[in-house]
Order: sequence, then structure tokens, then C-alpha cells
Amino acid sequence: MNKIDTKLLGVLLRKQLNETFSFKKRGKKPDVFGIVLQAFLAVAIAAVFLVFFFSFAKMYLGLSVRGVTDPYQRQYELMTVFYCVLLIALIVSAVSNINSAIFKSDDIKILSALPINSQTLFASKLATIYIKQLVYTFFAVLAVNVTPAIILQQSAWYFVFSAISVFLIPLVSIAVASLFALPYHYVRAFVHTHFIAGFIIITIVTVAAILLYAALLDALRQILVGNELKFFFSNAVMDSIAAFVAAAYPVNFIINLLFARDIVLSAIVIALLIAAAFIVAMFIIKKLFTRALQNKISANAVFKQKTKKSFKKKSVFSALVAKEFNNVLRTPSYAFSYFSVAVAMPLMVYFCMSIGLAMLKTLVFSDASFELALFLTAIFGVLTNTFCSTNISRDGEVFYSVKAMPVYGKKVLSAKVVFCFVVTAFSNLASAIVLFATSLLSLPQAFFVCLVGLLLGFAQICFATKKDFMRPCFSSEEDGVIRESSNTLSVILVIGLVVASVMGAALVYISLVTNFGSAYKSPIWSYLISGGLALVLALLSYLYLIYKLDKRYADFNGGF
Amino acid sequence: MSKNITVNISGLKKRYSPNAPLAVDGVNITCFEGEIVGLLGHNGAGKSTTLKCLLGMLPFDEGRISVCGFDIEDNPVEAKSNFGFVTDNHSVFVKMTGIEYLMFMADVYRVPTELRKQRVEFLNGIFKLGDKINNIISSYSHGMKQKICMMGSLIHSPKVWILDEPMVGLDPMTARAVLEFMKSYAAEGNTILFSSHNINSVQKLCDRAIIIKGGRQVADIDIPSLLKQNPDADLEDFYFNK
Repeated sequence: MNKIDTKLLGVLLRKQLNETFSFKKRGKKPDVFGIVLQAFLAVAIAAVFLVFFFSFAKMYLGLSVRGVTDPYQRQYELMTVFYCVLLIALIVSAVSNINSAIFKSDDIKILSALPINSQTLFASKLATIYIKQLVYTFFAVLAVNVTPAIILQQSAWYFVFSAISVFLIPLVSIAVASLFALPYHYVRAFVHTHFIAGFIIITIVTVAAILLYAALLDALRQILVGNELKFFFSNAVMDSIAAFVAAAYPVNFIINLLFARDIVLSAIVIALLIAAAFIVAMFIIKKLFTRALQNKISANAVFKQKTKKSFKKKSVFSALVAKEFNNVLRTPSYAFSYFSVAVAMPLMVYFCMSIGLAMLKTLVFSDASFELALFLTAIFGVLTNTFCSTNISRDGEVFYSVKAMPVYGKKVLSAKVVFCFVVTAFSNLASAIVLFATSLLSLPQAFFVCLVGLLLGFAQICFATKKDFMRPCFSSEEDGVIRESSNTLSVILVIGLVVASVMGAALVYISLVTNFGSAYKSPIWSYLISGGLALVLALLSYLYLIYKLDKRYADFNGGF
Repeated sequence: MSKNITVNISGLKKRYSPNAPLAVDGVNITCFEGEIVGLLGHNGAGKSTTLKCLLGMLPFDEGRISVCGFDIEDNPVEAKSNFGFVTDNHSVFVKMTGIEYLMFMADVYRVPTELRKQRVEFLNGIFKLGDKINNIISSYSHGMKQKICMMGSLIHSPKVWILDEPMVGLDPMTARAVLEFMKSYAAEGNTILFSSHNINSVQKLCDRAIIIKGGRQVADIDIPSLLKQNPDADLEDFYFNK
């Protein structure tokens, strides 16, 4: 049996880490704007999470079951659930990473032809995935394990094993993930070749994800609004949690180690589990690897779903819009991000509206539902309406072929704007309907909020499309799918968030000042400011889109 | 009777960035109805750049380009309506099926509904994609992508057919069928302009061969005249001596 060549392993690891972290070597300018924005968002999300988690942990550790308060048992349960969630998330990500590393990476075909044995190649791929997971685990464990320690006193062992678990959890995750790598590969190949089935699967996954998200938001709302969540944890619910914790193998062995219970037995079980999983993992990955090279399954995937032959003539514009839909419907990652927009926005607006209104009523004894709805529609419109930021880049080199066709640039870009506007219109309409149906807004208010949302969405799409057109970033991947974009996304997010925040804050402030101490009525200023601003932005963005467009279209030579 | 000019490139100059050397330096090409013109040159000579400027894919610095009397800069849509093109990298919408791609091209070039089925069947008879025409293009091999690109470029029976390295990736049977089709297509009064590395196929097929070196046009050879003067003349010798 071939041994792992440690020298070569070092070389391969250096190469992969360089590719992951170096911008210059990829010949692209780093998106400083995007990096700063991502860092800011990460810190903001972490801060919000810590605040909520601290409140939740404090409440949960103080819960009494049948009159008995046992904070350490509650902490045991909390940690078990957290490590389960973390492990599942890491396994899901590792399954996808292993498949990408074996089937999709450009270098594997070249490296496999070089005098490097397969074990060394596998080890280098797994090590890279392990290092990435180590970083995520470190931050997750740091946040979650330290929080209860602020509330309850912990032993030194707890902190030592928390540190050890940072290294242990990714190891378990990769070992288990490799068992699922092959089934996942077949499901993926199936989705890629059966578009209707794929679309159904993606819809189910999207709905499930959104429902989970909605449940989480609702829980957060309950934490914020009052003490309602405490009543959720009845004796029956706590019994279910206890039953889940007792059966949560193999996580409860890790938790036993964390709380210094059955140390020897738990350590032996975990060690055996990792060793067994790795032996099976190496076997499976080797099989996968051989299969990938011999059959090139993913490259030769054949579309099984035959389309209806139609020779009927369409207008050029309809053909261009249909082409956009084709591309998105048949690319699972695009379909997910395109359609999730339609579902995510109404949910986010509704839940945040409930939280925001409750807070306003509790803190300042005032109602500003219309202004808050405008604020939230603008904010979530910006956050969800991001698919347009790759309107040109998504085409890749084919954009040049379209350029050689007898179609004006204005028509080509307008088709892309219309394509994105369809889902924006749907999401804004759905948001307005939800707000009206839940009596948070009156019908005229909901209509106006929808109108403002549509205008802002249109402005964002026009601006993003032109921005991407001016500085596109074509995919260099074999499947042509965009995985890294230019700074268009960061720019539209920052500008959009600033505009939405300033407008929303001004509206809410004016409403509060106007209505202070009196019955709520929507001030005329709210209509004028939001409507006027949205209209001006839509007009300006449209002018920016069409300004010298045909000339710039003829002069276009970017993308690489 | 004199033949009409279909493609006219005069004084074409193109550089990729302000400080870069000229990729195309003063190229002049005139093609007539019913003519097959081959562009010859080594890698990086400027053949593809010239064709991309002609197609309107790339902007250029100096010169004029017209197709069937329409200037590519002043009347781009009219000029582009008159040609069909095949690029060297077979850029095509890979998420469409072959037939969807052909119908997309038919929509863009405004081919009437009643002609479409007949055109598809005719082209499938030449390029022999068979039932694979219903498969998604991402599942196609290199040669199949080349075929669907050629079919798409001919769906509207263009007056000018422009191809960049058309024979690369084609199996010998299809390559032969394509060469025969090119002859018959030109015989109908259409113009074919293509770039190639294959000197022999250019000599066999073309009425004229234009040699480009370092972005400059170094020869415009009337092949029938050359062979008339010297039946043993070899374009390859000509090419290497230039």
C-alpha cells in the first residue's frame, strides 16, 4: 500500500492554501469594499447572536422542571443540542466540499497525471477542508462555550476540552461526511440531469429552510417581546429534550468528555469511531476518485427531461428573457438564490414588522406601522434583491456571442432587468399582501408600500446591471457558474443599505415626532419622502443604465 | 457581370490596451458574393482578433468594417443580421438543449415559423446530431458543440458565414461533410470567410487565401490563378516563404 508522502503533502497544502487566500495570484483585484462589508456583517451578526444567545442561555439555565432547577443539567442539554447542530452543519458543508474537491476542482485532473500517489492527493484535499472547518468551529465554540461560563462557574477541564473539541469536531465531521459523499454525488448528478425533479427538490429545500428560519425568527420575537418563550419549555417539552439528549449519539460522548463524565469510555468510543469512519472514508473517497477520473460522470451528464419541441416564433425580447429563465432554472445554485428572494422577503418583513411594532409600542408607546413597513421593505428589498449583481457576469464568454447577434445592447440588458424584476415584483407584492392580510397595514398603505418597494427594486436592478456591465467578472469554472463576483454586490449592498436606513430612520422619526401623544395617523411627509425618493432613484438608475449604453455595448471588451 | 462586395474591411487597427502593440495592423479584406476566403496565420497572428472585430464582438481603434453594405459601427444590427458566425471557443448557452438553442437563434434572426422545422431537419442532415439535438448542450462533446454552433449560425441562411477555426474538433466524416457544404453554400452566392491553420484545406477549398503575420496582412492570394500559373504550386511553400 502506498504511503502518504509528507513532503509532497506539504507542497500540495501550500498550493491549495495559496489558491484559497491569494487574490493576486488569481489575477484579480481584491474586493476591499466587499471584504470590509463582509467583516462588518460578520461582526454584526456575531454581536446580535451573542446578545440573543446570552439572553436565551440565561433563561434556559434558570428553567425548572417539575419544580427542580438544575442549571448544570440544562447546560448539558444546551451543549448537546449546540454540538449536534454544529456537527450537522459541518457534515453538510464537508459533504459538499469533498465532492467539489474530487469532481469539480480543475487541478485534480492535472495532479492525478503527476507522480503523486492517490493517498497523498486525498490527504491534501481532506486537510484543506479540515483547516477550513477548524476556523469555523473555533469561532462557534468560542462564542457558545464561553457564554454559559459567564452565567455558571465552570471547571478548568471544561475550558481545556472546549479547546480540544475545536480540533475534534471537524475530524468527526469529515469522517462522517465522507460516508455521505457518494450518495450525495448521485443525488447531485440526478438533480443536474432532471431539471423538473431538481426544481421540485430545490423548492422543497428552500421552503424547509425558510420555515426553519421563520421558526427561529418567531422564537427571537418571543425572546424580545416578552417572556413567552419560557412558557414554551413545559415539562413535556423538557422531557422530549432530555430524551433527545440521551439518544444523541455520538455527540453525547463528546459532551460527556466536556463535562468530565465517563471520560475513559467516551474517549475510547470517540477514538474508535473516528478511526473506523476514516478507514471507510479513505476507501469510499478512493472509489469516488477513481470513478471521477474514469467516467467523468459529472462532465458527461445527459439531460433526461425532454422538452416539448416548439418551432413557434417568439419576439427577440421574449427569446432573451426566456434564455435567462432557462439558465437560472437549470442551474440549481442560481435557481435557489433567484427563488429564495421571492419567499425570504415577505417572511423577513412580516417577522421584523411584528418585532419592531411591539418594540415601538413598548418603548415609546407609539405606532408607526406604515413607516416601519416602508423601512423594512426597503431594507429587505436591498438584502434579498442581489441576484441582479451578476446579470452580465453570469453569461460568461457567451456574452460576446450575444454581442455578435443582431440585437441592440439596450434590448439585451433590458431583458436581464425584466427577468430580475419579475421576482422582485413577486416578493414585494407578497410582502404587501402579508402585511395587509395580518392587519398590520390598511389596503392603501399596503399598496403604497408595494409601489415604493417596486420602484426601489427597479432602481437597484438597473444600477446593479449597469455596474456589472461596466466591470463584469466571468466565471473561470468548468461549469460556467459564478462563484466569486466583482465588487458589484458589495457596492449595491452598501449604497442600498445606506439609502434604505436613512430613508427609513427619517420616516420613523418624523412619524414618532408627529404622532407623539396623539392617535396614530400617517403623516403626508411619509408618502412624499418615500414616494419621491423611490421615484427619483428609479429614474436616476434607469438613466444611468441607458446612458451611452449602445456605444458602451459596442465598446465592451471586459469580463476576464 | 461583376459580383457584389459582401465583406469590406479597410485599414483595420486594433490594440488590446493603450500601451500594447497592435494586434491587428492595417488589415484590408474584401470578399465578394459566392467567394470562399481563408485567413491563414500562426497562433497570435491576429486572425481571431480580425474576425472578432468583424463580428462586432470587439471594438477597434481605426478602420471601417461593413457587411453587405452596412457599417458594423453605424448600423450594427443590420450588419449582424447578414452574417452567421462560429467562434473558436464554441461559446454557446450550455443550459439549453440543442433544439432550444436553434430556436433561440431563429428568434434572434427572425426566422419565420413555417421555415424553422425544415431548416432544422436540413441542418441536422448535414451535421448529423440526430436525437442528441434534444439533449442539453452541457452534455455535448467538443465536436458536438462545434456542430450545434454551426447549425445555429446557419439557421437564418446568412449571406455571409464567418467561422473561426471551424474544423478543429470535428470528426473526419463531419469535416468532409462541412467542406462539401461550404462549397455548395458558396455556389448559391453566399460568402464564406474562415480562419484556419490547415493550409491544405484552405488550398483545396478557397478562392482566396489571406495570410496574416504579426497583425499585418502579408499576402492576398488568388488560389485558382496561382494554380493556373503553376499547377504544382503549393500554398504551404508560399505561406512559409512569406
